[in-house]
Amino acid sequence: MENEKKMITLKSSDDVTFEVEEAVVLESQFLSHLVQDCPAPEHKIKEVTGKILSKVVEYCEKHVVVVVDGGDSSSSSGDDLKKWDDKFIKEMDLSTVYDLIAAANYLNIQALLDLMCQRVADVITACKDHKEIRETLGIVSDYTAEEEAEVLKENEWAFD
Amino acid sequence: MKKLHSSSSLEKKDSNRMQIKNVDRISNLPDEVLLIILKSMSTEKAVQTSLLSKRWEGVWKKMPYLFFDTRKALKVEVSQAEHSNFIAPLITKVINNHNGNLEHCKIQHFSNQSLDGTLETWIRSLIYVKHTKCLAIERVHDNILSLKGLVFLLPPNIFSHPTLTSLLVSRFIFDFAHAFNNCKNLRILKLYQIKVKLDVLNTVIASCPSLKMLVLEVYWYSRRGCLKIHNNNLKIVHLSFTEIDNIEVSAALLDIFSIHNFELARGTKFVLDTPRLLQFSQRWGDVDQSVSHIVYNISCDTQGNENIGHEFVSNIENYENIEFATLAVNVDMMNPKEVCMLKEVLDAWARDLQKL
Repeated sequence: MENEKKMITLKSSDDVTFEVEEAVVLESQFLSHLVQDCPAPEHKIKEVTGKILSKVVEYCEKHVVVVVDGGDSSSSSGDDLKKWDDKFIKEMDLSTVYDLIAAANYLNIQALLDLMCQRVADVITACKDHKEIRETLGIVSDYTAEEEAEVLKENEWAFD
Repeated sequence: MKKLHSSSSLEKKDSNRMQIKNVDRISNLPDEVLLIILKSMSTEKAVQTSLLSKRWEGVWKKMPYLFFDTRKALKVEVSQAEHSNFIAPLITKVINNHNGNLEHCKIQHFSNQSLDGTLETWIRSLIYVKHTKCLAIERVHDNILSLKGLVFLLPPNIFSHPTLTSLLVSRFIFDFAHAFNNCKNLRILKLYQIKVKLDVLNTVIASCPSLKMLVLEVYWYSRRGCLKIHNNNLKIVHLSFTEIDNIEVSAALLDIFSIHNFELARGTKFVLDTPRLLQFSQRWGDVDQSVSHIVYNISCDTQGNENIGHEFVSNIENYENIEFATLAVNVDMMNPKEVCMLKEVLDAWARDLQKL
Protein backbone atom coordinates (compact mmCIF):
# COMPACT_ATOMS: atom_id res chain seq x y z
CA MET A 1 0.00 0.00 0.00
CA GLU A 2 2.79 2.37 1.00
CA ASN A 3 4.24 2.29 -2.50
CA GLU A 4 0.97 2.96 -4.24
CA LYS A 5 0.55 6.55 -3.18
CA LYS A 6 -1.23 8.50 -5.84
CA MET A 7 1.09 10.92 -7.63
CA ILE A 8 0.05 14.16 -9.25
CA THR A 9 2.00 16.39 -11.59
CA LEU A 10 1.88 20.15 -11.26
CA LYS A 11 3.09 22.38 -14.06
CA SER A 12 4.05 25.98 -13.49
CA SER A 13 3.35 28.94 -15.77
CA ASP A 14 6.83 28.57 -17.26
CA ASP A 15 6.38 24.79 -17.74
CA VAL A 16 8.47 23.50 -14.87
CA THR A 17 6.90 20.24 -13.66
CA PHE A 18 6.71 18.84 -10.14
CA GLU A 19 5.61 15.34 -9.30
CA VAL A 20 4.08 15.23 -5.83
CA GLU A 21 2.00 12.89 -3.70
CA GLU A 22 -1.72 13.56 -3.57
CA ALA A 23 -1.47 14.35 0.17
CA VAL A 24 0.82 17.28 -0.63
CA VAL A 25 -1.69 18.72 -3.08
CA LEU A 26 -4.42 18.49 -0.43
CA GLU A 27 -2.64 21.16 1.63
CA SER A 28 -4.04 23.60 -0.92
CA GLN A 29 -7.80 24.08 -0.89
CA PHE A 30 -7.70 25.27 -4.49
CA LEU A 31 -5.75 22.25 -5.73
CA SER A 32 -7.86 19.79 -3.70
CA HIS A 33 -10.94 20.97 -5.57
CA LEU A 34 -9.10 20.98 -8.88
CA VAL A 35 -7.87 17.40 -8.41
CA GLN A 36 -11.31 16.19 -7.31
CA ASP A 37 -13.18 17.93 -10.10
CA CYS A 38 -10.85 17.01 -12.91
CA PRO A 39 -8.85 13.84 -12.38
CA ALA A 40 -6.20 14.52 -15.04
CA PRO A 41 -2.64 13.35 -14.35
CA GLU A 42 -1.21 16.81 -14.89
CA HIS A 43 -2.40 20.24 -13.77
CA LYS A 44 -1.14 23.48 -15.17
CA ILE A 45 -1.07 26.42 -12.73
CA LYS A 46 -0.84 29.45 -14.96
CA GLU A 47 -0.58 31.98 -12.16
CA VAL A 48 2.52 30.60 -10.45
CA THR A 49 6.08 30.44 -11.79
CA GLY A 50 8.36 27.44 -11.39
CA LYS A 51 10.58 29.27 -8.93
CA ILE A 52 7.67 30.01 -6.61
CA LEU A 53 5.89 26.70 -7.16
CA SER A 54 9.06 24.88 -6.05
CA LYS A 55 8.91 26.83 -2.77
CA VAL A 56 5.21 26.05 -2.37
CA VAL A 57 5.83 22.35 -2.98
CA GLU A 58 8.78 22.37 -0.56
CA TYR A 59 6.58 23.93 2.14
CA CYS A 60 3.62 21.62 1.60
CA GLU A 61 5.81 18.48 1.48
CA LYS A 62 7.40 19.40 4.78
CA HIS A 63 4.11 20.11 6.47
CA VAL A 64 2.35 17.04 5.14
CA VAL A 65 5.08 14.68 6.36
CA VAL A 66 4.96 16.07 9.86
CA VAL A 67 1.22 15.69 10.11
CA VAL A 68 1.41 12.03 9.00
CA ASP A 69 4.25 11.24 11.44
CA GLY A 70 2.67 13.32 14.14
CA GLY A 71 1.23 10.27 15.91
CA ASP A 72 4.07 9.95 18.44
CA SER A 73 5.30 13.19 19.94
CA SER A 74 3.32 16.03 18.48
CA SER A 75 4.96 18.76 20.59
CA SER A 76 8.54 18.09 19.50
CA SER A 77 7.63 17.73 15.83
CA GLY A 78 5.70 20.99 16.25
CA ASP A 79 8.89 22.64 17.47
CA ASP A 80 10.86 21.15 14.60
CA LEU A 81 8.31 22.42 12.17
CA LYS A 82 8.54 25.91 13.63
CA LYS A 83 12.32 25.83 13.31
CA TRP A 84 11.95 24.69 9.74
CA ASP A 85 9.47 27.50 9.02
CA ASP A 86 11.86 30.06 10.54
CA LYS A 87 14.69 28.82 8.36
CA PHE A 88 12.40 28.70 5.34
CA ILE A 89 11.57 32.40 5.56
CA LYS A 90 14.83 33.67 7.02
CA GLU A 91 16.89 33.90 3.86
CA MET A 92 13.99 34.75 1.60
CA ASP A 93 14.06 38.19 -0.05
CA LEU A 94 10.93 40.31 0.05
CA SER A 95 10.30 39.85 -3.64
CA THR A 96 9.98 36.08 -3.13
CA VAL A 97 7.84 36.69 -0.03
CA TYR A 98 5.37 38.76 -2.10
CA ASP A 99 5.27 36.08 -4.79
CA LEU A 100 4.62 33.42 -2.18
CA ILE A 101 1.88 35.50 -0.58
CA ALA A 102 0.18 35.88 -3.94
CA ALA A 103 0.61 32.14 -4.67
CA ALA A 104 -0.59 31.02 -1.20
CA ASN A 105 -3.58 33.34 -1.55
CA TYR A 106 -4.40 32.03 -5.02
CA LEU A 107 -3.87 28.36 -4.12
CA ASN A 108 -5.62 28.89 -0.76
CA ILE A 109 -2.94 27.51 1.57
CA GLN A 110 -3.80 29.32 4.79
CA ALA A 111 -0.80 28.27 6.89
CA LEU A 112 1.69 29.37 4.24
CA LEU A 113 -0.19 32.64 3.73
CA ASP A 114 -0.11 33.32 7.48
CA LEU A 115 3.60 32.51 7.67
CA MET A 116 4.50 34.86 4.82
CA CYS A 117 2.27 37.66 6.11
CA GLN A 118 3.90 37.30 9.52
CA ARG A 119 7.26 37.84 7.84
CA VAL A 120 6.07 41.13 6.30
CA ALA A 121 4.50 42.16 9.62
CA ASP A 122 7.84 41.54 11.37
CA VAL A 123 9.62 43.69 8.80
CA ILE A 124 7.10 46.52 9.30
CA THR A 125 7.24 46.23 13.10
CA ALA A 126 11.03 46.53 13.02
CA CYS A 127 10.81 49.88 11.20
CA LYS A 128 10.84 52.98 13.38
CA ASP A 129 8.48 55.11 11.30
CA HIS A 130 6.41 55.16 8.12
CA LYS A 131 9.30 56.54 6.08
CA GLU A 132 11.41 53.55 6.95
CA ILE A 133 8.52 51.18 6.14
CA ARG A 134 8.14 52.84 2.72
CA GLU A 135 11.85 52.52 2.06
CA THR A 136 12.07 48.90 3.19
CA LEU A 137 8.97 47.69 1.36
CA GLY A 138 9.55 49.97 -1.62
CA ILE A 139 6.23 51.79 -1.33
CA VAL A 140 5.99 55.17 -3.04
CA SER A 141 3.73 57.68 -1.35
CA ASP A 142 1.10 59.38 -3.50
CA TYR A 143 0.06 61.80 -0.75
CA THR A 144 0.53 65.52 -1.09
CA ALA A 145 2.12 67.14 1.95
CA GLU A 146 -1.30 68.46 3.02
CA GLU A 147 -2.98 65.08 2.65
CA GLU A 148 -0.23 63.41 4.64
CA ALA A 149 -0.56 65.98 7.42
CA GLU A 150 -4.31 65.38 7.50
CA VAL A 151 -3.96 61.59 7.83
CA LEU A 152 -1.36 62.13 10.53
CA LYS A 153 -3.72 64.40 12.43
CA GLU A 154 -6.60 61.96 12.18
CA ASN A 155 -4.59 59.06 13.54
CA GLU A 156 -2.22 60.95 15.79
CA TRP A 157 -2.69 58.49 18.66
CA ALA A 158 -0.61 55.92 16.80
CA PHE A 159 2.36 58.23 16.34
CA ASP A 160 4.72 59.25 19.09
CA MET B 1 14.68 23.93 -15.17
CA LYS B 2 16.99 25.87 -17.46
CA LYS B 3 14.50 28.62 -17.76
CA LEU B 4 14.34 28.84 -14.00
CA HIS B 5 18.04 29.60 -13.80
CA SER B 6 18.02 32.26 -16.43
CA SER B 7 15.15 34.10 -14.80
CA SER B 8 16.73 34.14 -11.36
CA SER B 9 20.07 35.44 -12.65
CA LEU B 10 18.17 38.17 -14.44
CA GLU B 11 16.67 39.21 -11.12
CA LYS B 12 20.04 39.44 -9.46
CA LYS B 13 21.44 41.54 -12.27
CA ASP B 14 18.53 43.87 -12.13
CA SER B 15 17.87 44.10 -8.42
CA ASN B 16 17.27 47.84 -8.50
CA ARG B 17 14.45 47.48 -10.89
CA MET B 18 13.02 44.64 -8.81
CA GLN B 19 12.89 46.96 -5.84
CA ILE B 20 10.70 49.37 -7.74
CA LYS B 21 8.55 46.57 -9.08
CA ASN B 22 7.92 45.50 -5.47
CA VAL B 23 6.12 48.77 -4.88
CA ASP B 24 2.99 47.80 -6.54
CA ARG B 25 3.34 44.15 -5.68
CA ILE B 26 2.62 44.57 -1.97
CA SER B 27 0.14 47.39 -2.49
CA ASN B 28 -1.62 45.34 -5.17
CA LEU B 29 -2.43 42.53 -2.78
CA PRO B 30 -6.13 42.44 -1.89
CA ASP B 31 -7.35 43.97 1.38
CA GLU B 32 -7.95 40.53 2.93
CA VAL B 33 -4.26 39.73 2.57
CA LEU B 34 -3.06 43.13 3.81
CA LEU B 35 -5.32 42.61 6.81
CA ILE B 36 -3.59 39.30 7.60
CA ILE B 37 -0.33 41.29 7.65
CA LEU B 38 -1.79 43.97 9.94
CA LYS B 39 -3.39 41.37 12.21
CA SER B 40 -0.06 40.30 13.66
CA MET B 41 1.02 43.82 14.62
CA SER B 42 0.18 46.15 17.47
CA THR B 43 -2.78 48.46 16.85
CA GLU B 44 -0.42 51.48 16.76
CA LYS B 45 1.79 49.96 14.11
CA ALA B 46 -1.23 48.96 12.04
CA VAL B 47 -2.71 52.48 12.25
CA GLN B 48 0.68 53.91 11.27
CA THR B 49 0.45 52.14 7.92
CA SER B 50 -2.25 54.67 6.98
CA LEU B 51 0.59 57.12 6.29
CA LEU B 52 2.30 54.91 3.70
CA SER B 53 0.15 55.81 0.72
CA LYS B 54 -3.48 56.28 -0.32
CA ARG B 55 -3.77 52.54 -0.92
CA TRP B 56 -3.00 51.90 2.75
CA GLU B 57 -4.98 54.74 4.27
CA GLY B 58 -8.18 52.80 4.86
CA VAL B 59 -6.89 49.26 5.30
CA TRP B 60 -6.44 49.39 9.09
CA LYS B 61 -10.03 50.62 9.44
CA LYS B 62 -11.18 47.13 8.51
CA MET B 63 -9.10 45.43 11.19
CA PRO B 64 -11.22 43.15 13.39
CA TYR B 65 -9.22 43.87 16.56
CA LEU B 66 -8.28 47.12 18.29
CA PHE B 67 -6.28 47.49 21.47
CA PHE B 68 -5.87 50.86 23.21
CA ASP B 69 -3.65 51.57 26.17
CA THR B 70 -3.77 55.09 27.61
CA ARG B 71 -0.37 54.53 29.20
CA LYS B 72 1.18 54.52 25.76
CA ALA B 73 3.91 57.14 25.36
CA LEU B 74 3.44 58.25 28.96
CA LYS B 75 6.15 60.81 29.58
CA VAL B 76 7.77 61.21 32.97
CA GLU B 77 7.77 64.99 32.90
CA VAL B 78 4.03 65.21 32.27
CA SER B 79 1.50 64.48 35.01
CA GLN B 80 -0.82 61.53 34.52
CA ALA B 81 -3.85 63.83 34.32
CA GLU B 82 -2.24 65.96 31.60
CA HIS B 83 -1.17 62.91 29.66
CA SER B 84 -4.61 61.40 30.04
CA ASN B 85 -6.36 64.54 28.79
CA PHE B 86 -4.03 64.64 25.83
CA ILE B 87 -4.35 61.00 24.79
CA ALA B 88 -8.10 60.46 25.32
CA PRO B 89 -9.32 62.63 22.39
CA LEU B 90 -6.78 60.96 20.11
CA ILE B 91 -8.20 57.53 20.98
CA THR B 92 -11.73 58.84 20.40
CA LYS B 93 -10.66 59.91 16.90
CA VAL B 94 -9.18 56.52 16.06
CA ILE B 95 -12.33 54.73 17.28
CA ASN B 96 -14.48 57.09 15.19
CA ASN B 97 -12.30 56.52 12.12
CA HIS B 98 -12.64 52.76 12.24
CA ASN B 99 -15.16 51.21 9.86
CA GLY B 100 -16.84 49.14 12.55
CA ASN B 101 -17.96 45.54 12.93
CA LEU B 102 -15.16 44.90 15.37
CA GLU B 103 -14.66 41.38 16.64
CA HIS B 104 -12.75 42.53 19.66
CA CYS B 105 -11.75 45.76 21.34
CA LYS B 106 -9.73 46.14 24.51
CA ILE B 107 -9.29 49.45 26.31
CA GLN B 108 -6.87 49.96 29.16
CA HIS B 109 -7.64 53.33 30.67
CA PHE B 110 -7.01 55.60 33.64
CA SER B 111 -9.58 56.43 36.33
CA ASN B 112 -9.87 59.92 34.80
CA GLN B 113 -11.66 58.53 31.77
CA SER B 114 -14.36 56.86 33.80
CA LEU B 115 -14.74 60.03 35.89
CA ASP B 116 -15.06 62.53 33.04
CA GLY B 117 -17.41 60.43 30.89
CA THR B 118 -14.85 59.61 28.19
CA LEU B 119 -15.10 55.90 28.94
CA GLU B 120 -18.86 56.03 28.47
CA THR B 121 -18.42 57.81 25.12
CA TRP B 122 -15.98 55.14 23.94
CA ILE B 123 -18.20 52.28 25.09
CA ARG B 124 -21.27 53.85 23.42
CA SER B 125 -19.42 54.36 20.18
CA LEU B 126 -17.87 50.88 20.22
CA ILE B 127 -21.14 49.11 21.00
CA TYR B 128 -23.81 51.21 19.28
CA VAL B 129 -21.94 52.63 16.29
CA LYS B 130 -19.15 50.15 15.68
CA HIS B 131 -21.12 47.03 16.68
CA THR B 132 -18.28 45.46 18.64
CA LYS B 133 -18.82 41.80 19.54
CA CYS B 134 -16.31 41.41 22.30
CA LEU B 135 -15.37 44.27 24.61
CA ALA B 136 -12.78 44.43 27.39
CA ILE B 137 -12.59 47.40 29.74
CA GLU B 138 -9.62 47.40 32.06
CA ARG B 139 -8.80 50.20 34.45
CA VAL B 140 -5.04 50.35 34.91
CA HIS B 141 -3.30 50.81 38.24
CA ASP B 142 -2.99 54.57 38.48
CA ASN B 143 -2.79 57.49 40.85
CA ILE B 144 -6.42 57.63 41.81
CA LEU B 145 -7.61 61.21 42.09
CA SER B 146 -10.75 60.25 43.95
CA LEU B 147 -12.51 57.02 44.85
CA LYS B 148 -15.26 58.04 42.44
CA GLY B 149 -12.96 57.08 39.58
CA LEU B 150 -13.16 53.47 40.76
CA VAL B 151 -16.94 53.28 40.62
CA PHE B 152 -18.38 51.69 37.52
CA LEU B 153 -20.87 54.38 36.64
CA LEU B 154 -22.59 53.70 33.36
CA PRO B 155 -26.19 54.29 32.33
CA PRO B 156 -28.82 51.52 32.37
CA ASN B 157 -28.95 49.03 29.49
CA ILE B 158 -25.62 50.13 28.01
CA PHE B 159 -24.51 46.52 27.45
CA SER B 160 -27.84 45.33 26.12
CA HIS B 161 -27.03 45.75 22.42
CA PRO B 162 -27.64 42.54 20.40
CA THR B 163 -24.17 42.44 18.77
CA LEU B 164 -22.27 42.55 22.04
CA THR B 165 -21.75 38.93 23.10
CA SER B 166 -18.69 39.05 25.32
CA LEU B 167 -17.72 41.50 28.05
CA LEU B 168 -14.76 41.78 30.39
CA VAL B 169 -14.55 44.41 33.13
CA SER B 170 -11.53 44.78 35.37
CA ARG B 171 -10.63 46.78 38.52
CA PHE B 172 -13.85 48.58 39.44
CA ILE B 173 -16.30 48.97 42.27
CA PHE B 174 -19.86 47.99 41.36
CA ASP B 175 -22.42 49.94 43.36
CA PHE B 176 -25.28 49.34 40.95
CA ALA B 177 -26.24 46.59 38.54
CA HIS B 178 -28.29 48.71 36.13
CA ALA B 179 -25.62 48.97 33.42
CA PHE B 180 -26.22 45.23 32.97
CA ASN B 181 -30.00 45.53 32.60
CA ASN B 182 -31.37 43.45 29.78
CA CYS B 183 -28.14 41.73 28.76
CA LYS B 184 -29.96 38.92 27.02
CA ASN B 185 -27.27 38.69 24.37
CA LEU B 186 -24.19 38.33 26.50
CA ARG B 187 -22.64 34.86 26.19
CA ILE B 188 -19.43 35.51 28.09
CA LEU B 189 -19.00 37.70 31.17
CA LYS B 190 -15.70 38.06 32.98
CA LEU B 191 -15.37 40.28 36.03
CA TYR B 192 -11.84 40.65 37.39
CA GLN B 193 -10.87 42.41 40.59
CA ILE B 194 -14.31 43.80 41.19
CA LYS B 195 -15.49 44.96 44.59
CA VAL B 196 -19.20 44.45 44.87
CA LYS B 197 -22.15 43.91 47.20
CA LEU B 198 -23.56 40.41 46.99
CA ASP B 199 -27.07 41.49 45.99
CA VAL B 200 -25.69 43.73 43.23
CA LEU B 201 -23.68 40.82 41.83
CA ASN B 202 -26.72 38.53 42.01
CA THR B 203 -28.69 41.10 40.00
CA VAL B 204 -25.88 41.35 37.41
CA ILE B 205 -25.83 37.55 37.00
CA ALA B 206 -29.63 37.36 36.77
CA SER B 207 -29.61 40.11 34.10
CA CYS B 208 -27.55 37.93 31.77
CA PRO B 209 -29.73 34.82 31.20
CA SER B 210 -27.91 33.61 28.06
CA LEU B 211 -24.43 33.37 29.56
CA LYS B 212 -22.38 30.33 28.60
CA MET B 213 -19.30 31.38 30.48
CA LEU B 214 -19.07 33.25 33.77
CA VAL B 215 -15.75 34.16 35.37
CA LEU B 216 -15.87 35.99 38.69
CA GLU B 217 -12.89 37.29 40.59
CA VAL B 218 -14.48 39.53 43.21
CA TYR B 219 -14.13 41.02 46.66
CA TRP B 220 -17.13 41.51 48.92
CA TYR B 221 -18.23 44.48 50.95
CA SER B 222 -19.64 41.90 53.31
CA ARG B 223 -19.79 38.13 53.11
CA ARG B 224 -23.37 38.04 54.36
CA GLY B 225 -25.90 36.50 52.06
CA CYS B 226 -26.03 33.96 49.30
CA LEU B 227 -24.37 34.08 45.89
CA LYS B 228 -26.94 32.81 43.41
CA ILE B 229 -26.03 31.46 40.00
CA HIS B 230 -29.15 30.02 38.41
CA ASN B 231 -28.73 29.70 34.69
CA ASN B 232 -29.41 26.71 32.49
CA ASN B 233 -27.30 27.96 29.58
CA LEU B 234 -24.04 28.12 31.52
CA LYS B 235 -21.34 25.73 30.45
CA ILE B 236 -18.38 27.18 32.35
CA VAL B 237 -18.20 28.82 35.74
CA HIS B 238 -14.97 29.97 37.34
CA LEU B 239 -15.17 31.53 40.79
CA SER B 240 -12.48 33.22 42.79
CA PHE B 241 -13.21 35.08 46.03
CA THR B 242 -12.64 34.97 49.73
CA GLU B 243 -15.12 34.12 52.43
CA ILE B 244 -18.80 33.89 51.75
CA ASP B 245 -21.77 32.56 53.67
CA ASN B 246 -23.78 30.66 51.09
CA ILE B 247 -23.54 29.70 47.44
CA GLU B 248 -26.17 28.21 45.14
CA VAL B 249 -25.22 27.07 41.68
CA SER B 250 -27.96 25.63 39.56
CA ALA B 251 -26.95 25.02 35.96
CA ALA B 252 -28.32 22.11 33.97
CA LEU B 253 -25.67 22.25 31.25
CA LEU B 254 -22.60 23.11 33.30
CA ASP B 255 -19.56 21.19 32.07
CA ILE B 256 -16.75 23.03 33.78
CA PHE B 257 -16.81 24.27 37.32
CA SER B 258 -13.68 25.72 38.77
CA ILE B 259 -13.08 27.42 42.09
CA HIS B 260 -10.06 29.23 43.34
CA ASN B 261 -9.00 30.89 46.54
CA PHE B 262 -12.09 29.78 48.38
CA GLU B 263 -12.42 29.73 52.09
CA LEU B 264 -15.73 28.42 53.21
CA ALA B 265 -16.57 29.35 56.76
CA ARG B 266 -18.04 26.76 59.09
CA GLY B 267 -21.67 26.20 58.41
CA THR B 268 -21.43 27.50 54.85
CA LYS B 269 -24.15 26.13 52.67
CA PHE B 270 -22.90 25.16 49.23
CA VAL B 271 -25.69 23.93 47.01
CA LEU B 272 -24.64 22.56 43.64
CA ASP B 273 -27.28 21.50 41.17
CA THR B 274 -25.17 20.57 38.17
CA PRO B 275 -26.36 17.22 36.79
CA ARG B 276 -23.59 16.94 34.18
CA LEU B 277 -20.94 17.15 36.86
CA LEU B 278 -22.53 14.50 38.96
CA GLN B 279 -19.45 12.88 40.44
CA PHE B 280 -18.05 16.18 41.44
CA SER B 281 -21.18 17.19 43.27
CA GLN B 282 -21.01 13.97 45.23
CA ARG B 283 -17.33 14.31 46.05
CA TRP B 284 -17.62 17.90 47.06
CA GLY B 285 -18.12 17.02 50.71
CA ASP B 286 -14.76 15.23 50.94
CA VAL B 287 -12.37 17.70 49.35
CA ASP B 288 -10.28 20.28 51.10
CA GLN B 289 -12.26 23.42 50.49
CA SER B 290 -9.55 25.98 51.17
CA VAL B 291 -7.75 25.25 47.90
CA SER B 292 -8.58 25.34 44.24
CA HIS B 293 -10.39 22.73 42.23
CA ILE B 294 -11.57 22.33 38.73
CA VAL B 295 -13.87 19.78 37.19
CA TYR B 296 -14.24 19.27 33.46
CA ASN B 297 -16.63 17.11 31.50
CA ILE B 298 -14.72 16.55 28.24
CA SER B 299 -17.72 14.92 26.60
CA CYS B 300 -19.33 18.34 26.44
CA ASP B 301 -17.04 19.52 23.67
CA THR B 302 -17.22 16.44 21.50
CA GLN B 303 -21.00 16.57 21.55
CA GLY B 304 -21.36 20.19 20.62
CA ASN B 305 -19.33 21.94 17.98
CA GLU B 306 -18.09 24.65 20.30
CA ASN B 307 -14.67 24.25 21.80
CA ILE B 308 -15.08 26.99 24.33
CA GLY B 309 -14.63 24.67 27.31
CA HIS B 310 -11.62 22.90 25.96
CA GLU B 311 -9.98 26.22 25.30
CA PHE B 312 -10.64 27.33 28.86
CA VAL B 313 -9.12 24.25 30.50
CA SER B 314 -6.17 23.98 28.12
CA ASN B 315 -5.30 27.63 28.62
CA ILE B 316 -5.66 27.60 32.35
CA GLU B 317 -2.02 28.59 32.78
CA ASN B 318 -3.00 31.97 31.45
CA TYR B 319 -5.01 32.51 34.56
CA GLU B 320 -2.46 34.12 36.79
CA ASN B 321 -1.22 32.45 39.92
CA ILE B 322 -3.83 29.78 40.01
CA GLU B 323 -2.65 26.51 41.46
CA PHE B 324 -5.26 23.86 41.50
CA ALA B 325 -5.18 20.97 43.88
CA THR B 326 -7.51 18.78 41.89
CA LEU B 327 -8.49 18.44 38.30
CA ALA B 328 -11.37 16.06 37.88
CA VAL B 329 -12.14 15.07 34.33
CA ASN B 330 -15.08 13.10 32.98
CA VAL B 331 -13.99 11.33 29.86
CA ASP B 332 -15.32 8.54 27.69
CA MET B 333 -12.23 6.37 27.11
CA MET B 334 -13.89 4.60 24.21
CA ASN B 335 -14.13 7.81 22.24
CA PRO B 336 -10.78 8.53 20.51
CA LYS B 337 -11.55 12.24 20.18
CA GLU B 338 -12.14 12.57 23.89
CA VAL B 339 -8.96 10.67 24.74
CA CYS B 340 -7.02 12.95 22.42
CA MET B 341 -8.52 16.00 24.14
CA LEU B 342 -7.63 14.54 27.53
CA LYS B 343 -4.02 14.31 26.34
CA GLU B 344 -4.09 17.96 25.35
CA VAL B 345 -5.45 18.91 28.76
CA LEU B 346 -2.75 16.88 30.52
CA ASP B 347 -0.07 18.50 28.34
CA ALA B 348 -1.39 21.94 29.18
CA TRP B 349 -1.35 21.03 32.84
CA ALA B 350 2.10 19.45 32.79
CA ARG B 351 3.58 22.14 35.01
CA ASP B 352 0.97 21.75 37.74
CA LEU B 353 0.97 17.98 37.56
CA GLN B 354 4.72 17.91 38.12
CA LYS B 355 4.31 19.86 41.31
CA LEU B 356 1.73 17.49 42.70
